[in-house]
Amino acid sequence: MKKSIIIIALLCSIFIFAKGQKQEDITFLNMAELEEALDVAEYLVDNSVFGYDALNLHESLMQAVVKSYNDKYTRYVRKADLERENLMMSNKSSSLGFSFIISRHLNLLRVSDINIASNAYKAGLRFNDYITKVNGYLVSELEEKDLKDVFFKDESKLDLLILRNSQLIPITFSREPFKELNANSAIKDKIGYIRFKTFEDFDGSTLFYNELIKLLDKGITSLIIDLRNNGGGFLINAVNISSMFSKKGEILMKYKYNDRHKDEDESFINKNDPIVPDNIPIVILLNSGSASSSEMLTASLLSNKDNVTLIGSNSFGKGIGQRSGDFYDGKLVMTQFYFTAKDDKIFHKIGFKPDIEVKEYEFNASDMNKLLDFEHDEIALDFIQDHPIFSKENIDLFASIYKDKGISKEALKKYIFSIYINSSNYDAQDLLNSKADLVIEKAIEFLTR
Amino acid sequence: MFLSSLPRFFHFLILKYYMKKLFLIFICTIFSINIYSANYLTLSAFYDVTNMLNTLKDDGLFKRDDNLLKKELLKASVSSLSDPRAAYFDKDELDNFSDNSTDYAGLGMINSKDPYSGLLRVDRVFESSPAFFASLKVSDIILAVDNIDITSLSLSASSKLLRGEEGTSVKLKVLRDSEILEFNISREAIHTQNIFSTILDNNVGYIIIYELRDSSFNDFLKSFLSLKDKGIKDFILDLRYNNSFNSHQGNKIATLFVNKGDIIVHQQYKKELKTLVAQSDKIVSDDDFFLILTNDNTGASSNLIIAGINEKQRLIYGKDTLANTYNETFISYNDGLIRFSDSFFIDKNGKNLILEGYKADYLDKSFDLSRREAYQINKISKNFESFTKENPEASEENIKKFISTYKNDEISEDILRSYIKKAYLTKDPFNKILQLDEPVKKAWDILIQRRGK
Repeated sequence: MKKSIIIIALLCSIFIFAKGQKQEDITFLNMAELEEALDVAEYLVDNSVFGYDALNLHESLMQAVVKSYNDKYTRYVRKADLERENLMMSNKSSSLGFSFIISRHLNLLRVSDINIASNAYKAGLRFNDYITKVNGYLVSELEEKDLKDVFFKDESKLDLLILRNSQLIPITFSREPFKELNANSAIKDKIGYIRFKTFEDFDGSTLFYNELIKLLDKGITSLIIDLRNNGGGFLINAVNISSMFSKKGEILMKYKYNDRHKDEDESFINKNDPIVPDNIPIVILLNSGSASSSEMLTASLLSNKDNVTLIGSNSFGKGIGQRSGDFYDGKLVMTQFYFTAKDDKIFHKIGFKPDIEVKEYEFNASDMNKLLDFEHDEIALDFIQDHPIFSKENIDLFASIYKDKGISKEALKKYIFSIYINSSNYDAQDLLNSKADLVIEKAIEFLTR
Repeated sequence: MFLSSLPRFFHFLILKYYMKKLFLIFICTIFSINIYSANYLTLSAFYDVTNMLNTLKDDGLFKRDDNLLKKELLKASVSSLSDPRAAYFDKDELDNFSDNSTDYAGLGMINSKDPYSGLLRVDRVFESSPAFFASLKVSDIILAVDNIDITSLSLSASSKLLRGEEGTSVKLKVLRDSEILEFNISREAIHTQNIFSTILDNNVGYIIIYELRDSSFNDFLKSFLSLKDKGIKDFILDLRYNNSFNSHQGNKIATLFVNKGDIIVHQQYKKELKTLVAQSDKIVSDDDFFLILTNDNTGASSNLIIAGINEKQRLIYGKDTLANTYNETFISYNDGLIRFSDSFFIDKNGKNLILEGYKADYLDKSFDLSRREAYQINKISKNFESFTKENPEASEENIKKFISTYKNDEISEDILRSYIKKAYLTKDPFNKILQLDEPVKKAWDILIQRRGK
């Protein structure tokens, strides 16, 4: 009886308070589930010898609510996990060149992202490696804040012991500030090439703009934008880049909210004149690692220009945006809108199918195992010293020399290709000259035809 | 009015702010009408979660799955109880349980999957199992099985790889601290046994209760009576590794030791204290004596059996028992099952069995392997099996032969002796128990000495 009075009173208060808001915003139509769960909690409070920690109960229920949306981007971060979350954010924007996820249950760190031009990569650290020791400390011995000190403050050298394919490998590299080359350009036969690595920089669109201006000054007649393995970042960068190509007054991007907020859908309209002439054909290179802002830029260019061609493989397909805010003691990250181009076509979970498909070779587990021997004996580095020119011929040569090692030719080619790129610090001009990248070659062939 | 001038994202924050104030006023009202703490807890949760549901419904892009919501909320409300064993099992999970038969050929360990990294961790290694002889340890991480990388496999898929035909061998790659160890272990039938009994030299009865199950009382009574029929008065009751939660069976066994009308144990529920009193005559006579064998893993309902035995009739050899004697109960709910602890036990002398266990009268000072020694044992683990096959007789000569063959600077004679004895014991558990199982031998010594007095 008491309980029902209270709930009715609570209902009334919320309804009264919601006056002026849309009435249907707050409903209790679906509260049966919650009431059931809380009845169980109440039963347990009365009948169990254990009690509840109110914070834990609230947070668990909130995480349960979030799970029921079947969307991995909608999540609730507990108060206790905020520190860990912040650490991961700081390692993402740090000078390490790689980021990691903490597994407390097993006392390991997993490398969740790594920049190919970083010291860490050059020293041999790879995606999905597990870190077991840092500067002599076992990861199990370090608290979150200790990790922060070890990785970002202490010595200038990082001494890691990593686990990969059931083997332990020591890796040492210096932690000197590492400036990523997130935009990089090259030119060949009046074909411009811009490699854009990420949308995560605040000034990402400016970096792109600088490279674009350089190419336009040299009088390019066509342009390749390489968005392969670009997982996105700030959408505003995609909008700004699209504005360099689109006509004044065109819609660059749209936010589409849920049905209740249809009237609030936003459009981003181009207020500037384009800087790229209309007669320059554009090729966009995509693969399964191109996601979010990369796809937004692709969509925007496709809808505003008629001379855009996609080459590579199908893109990832992430077209939803999240916003986050403090919620009670933790943080709520919520998927709130689709982003689309002016044609309103939703590409979430679909991605973009290339006009010309070029499949890239992907390493399998046995390749990886065998390639470790190469790395161990520094075969590749010796080869590059003898054959310093990054060219298709040298790559083929490497593949034919080591073809007897029980490893496929494609795997060998891809491997030595990545070593060349590392040693040249990802210089786009080297890449363009090498003729070794099949996707780029296809794009050049398409543009010169 | 001002709300609409702000971006969408801030709406719920503002709403939250005012609602919190209003909510506080409400709490005051609630206290004025004198409310239970339980209601306060769930009421505030109701408010928090409702607010979140509304925020997500209002501003979120996707629609929720109400069935999933129901299940997840139930799971959350049960598992966030401070009780580590509280859990809700839905229908699918219950169906899965019944698929797992208790007897299988494997390595004899329990594993779990780490949610963040997806790696397989060893949670428990059974005594005298193949995994035990290979010196696998709790918190080892299994990376590969038969050269198949299992880091991306599910728990059930990995378990399938570990199990197989009896006698076949399996290759493991294991990460321990920051070393990688390789194991080659042959699978054996793993029986999750219940109760066994035998007679040792000098008319000492031996009863081992591996686990308390629904049939345990009957099995124990049968074993005990058959030993008593043969005139046995001194018993070794082996409760090592018995940490099972089945207080009903524990108390039933304890009844055998308690006079009719006497207190067995007190059971403390949240709001009441119940006292269990023996309803029938006791079976154990006053001159029977029990030596109870315990180790680090003796606890839960085992304590109830110890609680029933008169202090003058018992001695404990081994380790202090665990203080975790809760009563675990199940209620069915929504086609699923809720498990939680509804009470705990206080013995007849007032010892609270969730605050302290039973102290060992004689402490077992057996050794723990160092990492170096575990590594050495692992290196020769294959040889235990082949040696016991070639030399089936568990004689002192054979044990000495084994020690002299494998002794080196890294590994002590004592460790080798205890391991080869355990290997023989697995082959032939009951005839050679006194000769091979050192704690049982020591318990037996104590009983014989006491008899002399």
